Amino acid sequence: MVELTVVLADDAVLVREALAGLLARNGFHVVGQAGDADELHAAVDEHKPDVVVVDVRMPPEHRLEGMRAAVEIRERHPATGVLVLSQHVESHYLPALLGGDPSGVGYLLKERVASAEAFIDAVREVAQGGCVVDQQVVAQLMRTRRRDDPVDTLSDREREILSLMAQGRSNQAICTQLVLTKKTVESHVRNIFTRLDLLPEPDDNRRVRAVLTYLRPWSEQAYRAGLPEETP
Amino acid sequence: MDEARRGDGGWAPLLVVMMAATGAVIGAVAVTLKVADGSHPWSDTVLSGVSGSLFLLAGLVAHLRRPANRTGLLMMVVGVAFFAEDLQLSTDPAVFTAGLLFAHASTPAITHLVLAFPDGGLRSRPAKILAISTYVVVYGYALLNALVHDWTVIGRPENLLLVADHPDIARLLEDVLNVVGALIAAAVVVMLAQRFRTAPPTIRAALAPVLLIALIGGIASLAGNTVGSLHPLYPVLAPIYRIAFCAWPLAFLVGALWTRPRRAVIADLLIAARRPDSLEGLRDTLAVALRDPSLQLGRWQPDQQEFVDADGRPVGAGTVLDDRDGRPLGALSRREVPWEDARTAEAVAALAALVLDNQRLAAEAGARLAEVRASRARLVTAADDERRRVERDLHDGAQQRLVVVALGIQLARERADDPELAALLADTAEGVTAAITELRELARGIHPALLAESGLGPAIAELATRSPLPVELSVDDLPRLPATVEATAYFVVAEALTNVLKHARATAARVQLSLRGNALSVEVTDDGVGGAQVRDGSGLAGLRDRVRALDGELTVRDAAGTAVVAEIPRG
Repeated sequence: MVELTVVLADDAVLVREALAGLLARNGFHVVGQAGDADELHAAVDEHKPDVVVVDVRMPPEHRLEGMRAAVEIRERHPATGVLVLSQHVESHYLPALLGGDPSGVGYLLKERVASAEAFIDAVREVAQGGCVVDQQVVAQLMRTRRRDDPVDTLSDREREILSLMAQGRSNQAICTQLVLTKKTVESHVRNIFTRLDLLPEPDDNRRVRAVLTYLRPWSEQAYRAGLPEETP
Repeated sequence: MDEARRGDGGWAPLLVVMMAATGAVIGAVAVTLKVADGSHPWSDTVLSGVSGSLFLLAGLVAHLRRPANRTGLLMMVVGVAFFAEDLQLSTDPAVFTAGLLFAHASTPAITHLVLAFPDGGLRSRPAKILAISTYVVVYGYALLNALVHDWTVIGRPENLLLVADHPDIARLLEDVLNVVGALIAAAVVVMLAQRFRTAPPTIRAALAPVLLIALIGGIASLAGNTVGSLHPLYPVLAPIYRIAFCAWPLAFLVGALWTRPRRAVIADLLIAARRPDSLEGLRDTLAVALRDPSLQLGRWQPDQQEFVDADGRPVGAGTVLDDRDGRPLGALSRREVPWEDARTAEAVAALAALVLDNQRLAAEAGARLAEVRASRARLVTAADDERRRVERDLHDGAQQRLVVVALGIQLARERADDPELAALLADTAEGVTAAITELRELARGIHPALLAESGLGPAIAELATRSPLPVELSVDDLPRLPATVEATAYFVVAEALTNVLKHARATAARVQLSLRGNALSVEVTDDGVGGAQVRDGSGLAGLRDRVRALDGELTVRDAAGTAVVAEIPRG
């Protein structure tokens, strides 16, 4: 298996070292570490890693520096996957992060690192061009209710599958996780797209975006607003 | 108003009684002499008796009405002097000689009265010089003339002051008197004209009747003298002069009483005083009420230790207005002090003091209220800052440390050979993860990071996302507002949505945020059972305090369900 290269960015040295150790032991090559956005950009420019793992909060303001850096890296280095670790469950920044093409991108709550397997899987997924959205973030989106919400018309099984779709799981992965036949899953997925009035998307990543777009709780305008430009 | 003028003085009543008595006696003597003399027409005798008496009476009335003003006394002096002129008609040498000295006594008295009217005092140096020189010239002439003029040659009584009869010197004296008298008369006319032109309306109104009658009388007299006593018009002109002279004291009285601030002034001031007005407003009210545009009103400035008007100019301490404790509040300064009686002046001053005191109290109360408001707002801001700091500390401190702990447990798990130990560590890691999640919820409750980072719109959208109830959002494209305003609006929406969930039995809620003028309007409505109230100690009561601390208002009312509405000034 090809060793994937990683650049880590977190201003907490302890966290960074611990993550580096975890990734190294799981077959990643940690080529660079950064304590702030400038160091991160320099390391990415130098190493062109397969994936970047970046904390949302970094110096100097400890607000959204990591998120802003992640969006920039996705623009400047499309080949590099970006996994954002966040302390916040808010899905507000997802649209800006996912952008037009949700491939090689991920948004995980920071405590996911405590579960090594899930974290390593997520890093690998993003490094290989996949899309990962934290299940809790998706769960919160699924909780969102509107009047006459078509999600209400879905069965429990379909809602479960919708949630996994939003997290970036492929049909195959859903089959495995829910112990269902591929045919059953495909039938559910078709049904979900019909009910929600979405065009079927063959590609997993576009599927994520479609689902997330549907689940968005905010106005289109607010959705597009994305990241604030200024540092308040 | 200084004390000497305000009080009646110990000697004044006695003086007035004496003068009235003297006037009456001399008047009676004068009329008797005139009748006995026989050379005067009957009408002339009556009219001159009437005019002298009227000066005495009108002066007495004026004095009794306004003892502070010397005009009344001066009028009485004119009356006495007028009668004294007729003493020269006596056949008794002593009385005749005294009459010689008072031959033109009314002239300086009238000049003095006219120049001092209506204040009762000679206010300018030229007026003083003019009045004094009139006295000097008239009495000086009378004395000198008495020394050199023998009247026995024309059948009059003996002049007791006669030194030697010198008709040529007497003629010379008469010529000098005529020239100097004409000069003084011209000066008086010029001065009065000048005074009338520059006087404030109050003074002008008082002067007008006096000057008008003087003009009529003067013209009649001049015309009579010009045409001569044999001209057919003379019998018409002479009575005009006499009647004008009779009317004169009444004109003085009328003019003087007119300048008296009427009771309506007090009413005007009372009405005006009900409005909390500015210093300038009070000054204007007083100026209009007292008909004195030159009136100045100053407020006492403790820092500068002087009275200062609305434009910041110092005002001389004319009448000092005190508060209830005798501390100075302000000062009324007037260039012209028209004829006012002490009681009215005191009432006006008291009223002005009352208004000034009210204004000061209102200003103090306003300043204190503003200070309390500002400090209340500062408390809210300080509390918000503290919440934000705690939130950041939780994220950047405790949460990060727990992540490191979780990673350490992870590492330990990898190295644990004992499956039981590995399972234990896995459980522990789960516990730590749960702790991190709880910590995040706690931090969000204290102060949502999204609010500080992205503003009200996204933060409210996130609130809506988290609500299990369908929440319809109508959020204007809001600019970033002061952190305290944003936080207040956020907490209002959060609390209202929580209440909807807990109590309203609603199926949906609606959140509206918009900027209306200078205030952020926050409205949370639901379709539930309604009946919500702001109870003491409830979350909404705390939020209402918070909103009010920012000078806003929070209301709860029944709409289709319940509507929580907050208006928060944008600061």
